[in-house]
Amino acid sequence: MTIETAKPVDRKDLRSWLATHDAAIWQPAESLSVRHEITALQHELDKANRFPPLLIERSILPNGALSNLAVATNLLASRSLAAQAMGLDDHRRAGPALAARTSATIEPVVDPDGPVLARVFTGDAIDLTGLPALVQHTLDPGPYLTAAHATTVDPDTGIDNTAIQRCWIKGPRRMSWFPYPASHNMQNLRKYWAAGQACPVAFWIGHHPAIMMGAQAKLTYPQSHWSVAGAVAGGPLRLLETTVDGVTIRVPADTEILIEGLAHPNLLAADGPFGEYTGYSGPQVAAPEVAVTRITMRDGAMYHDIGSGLADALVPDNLMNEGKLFAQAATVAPSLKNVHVPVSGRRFHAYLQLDNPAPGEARAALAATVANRRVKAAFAFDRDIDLFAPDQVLWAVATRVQWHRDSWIERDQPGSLLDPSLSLGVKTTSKIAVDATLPAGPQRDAPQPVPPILDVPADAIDRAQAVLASAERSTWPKS
Amino acid sequence: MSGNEGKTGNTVWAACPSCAVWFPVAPDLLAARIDLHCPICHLEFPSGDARRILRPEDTTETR
Repeated sequence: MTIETAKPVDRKDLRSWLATHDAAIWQPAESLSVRHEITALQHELDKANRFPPLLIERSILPNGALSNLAVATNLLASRSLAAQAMGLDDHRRAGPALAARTSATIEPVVDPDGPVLARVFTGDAIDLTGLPALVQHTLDPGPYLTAAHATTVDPDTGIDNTAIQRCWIKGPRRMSWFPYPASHNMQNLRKYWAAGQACPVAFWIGHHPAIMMGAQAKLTYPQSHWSVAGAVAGGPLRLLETTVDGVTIRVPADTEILIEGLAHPNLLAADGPFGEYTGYSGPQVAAPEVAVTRITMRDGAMYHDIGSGLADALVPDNLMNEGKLFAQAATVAPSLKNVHVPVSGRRFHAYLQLDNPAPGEARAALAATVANRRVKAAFAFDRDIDLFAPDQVLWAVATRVQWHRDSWIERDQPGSLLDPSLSLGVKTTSKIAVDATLPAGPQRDAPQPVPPILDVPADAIDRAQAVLASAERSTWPKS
Repeated sequence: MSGNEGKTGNTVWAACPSCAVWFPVAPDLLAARIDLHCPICHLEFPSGDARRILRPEDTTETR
């Protein structure tokens, strides 16, 4: 695959990232429908534990026509690629690395122009239905923008906010937009609506993965995401200013597609059901509708999709939360070495690794971790447990925990209302913290007061590996 | 306090009056009196016109 790039090599955008990962990208030769077929491919890849970025040059629109835009999806389903995009050599060390990275800022630069303004569509030329937006899951009611970063401006302070929020394309110039009720974009929208004004909003689609992940950092309100995105990407983000209904909104200049519009006061309509990160369909909800006023895009624009409920969505989200959780827990637990948020737990599980924690330190780290809104269950482990090996994690839970002594439940905590285990009408969740560390020894260099872990001498392991290397293993049972 | 609350589920379902497909709806959407939108046949209809609204307590009763 060759991806043309007509810009300085150090500029970070989606094209430059794809060009550097040519070998890892899978470009199916077949034409694939945007309706279910591309998402089905992602489901099969997840099941097979294979995570190539996908570039679909020939996508079939719902009307049967071939799209003019390539679809890029599954970009960050791989932890290795996602970490590399942020300049991290080892995805297994993302927690401490991102905790440091997201505590810094690099201010953006603003240019008067940018590649995304190359092609401009206004009035009757606006056609959202021409975008190769995917209908991902069976109960999704139509094509959704799943990688649209919605950017709004707080009318009180002029500070912008950015978040990925889904949009259901309902017509050439009409789509719903679902800013989660507690989101900062929703706070901005409510301010406009309270004043009887439409909320101007700009959606940008497609950028370098480091920018996309950095822009998702969880910040206070109101706080712009651009400087943190720059810090995560390792350089200043290039923005341009656009004006929507008299309000200036800054957006990335090197994004692929820009959609501008207005959410008119109190105009709500049904949105969803929609496949969620939990692995279940979220319910149909009331969501603002956006009247699109302009679409711009780069020459040869690519459309970015994120596979909702799949590794494609979970991996980047969880990597960023590993950084946040590490920062939270490290403040109370100096022995904290690592954090992992496994895809198997969706967003809900967090594993902590501590090195010879002082008495009470594991519990302090766990308390800080379960305080995070997303975490339902936090587990503390010793240095010998590989947080990325489920068998080791479960072995430690099985052999290092007395439940009455080493676990506790926090009731009535803030959590996700999308959790299927909640009862109807319940707005809080219960959480559990589990200390699966071994007791400290009476002396630092003496054995811990627990049985020794099974082991064989290193030279015997070397011999075993040599014997295995020459064995014919294809007929051996796998389970 | 919550030891006896049991597993009740949290999903309200609506059945489309036209194609009869079931789909989950948020209680807030029903309360807002916004038309529901069938994800399959795309009929828009007031919730009162649904073929059926099924709440978790209804599900429990039928077990």
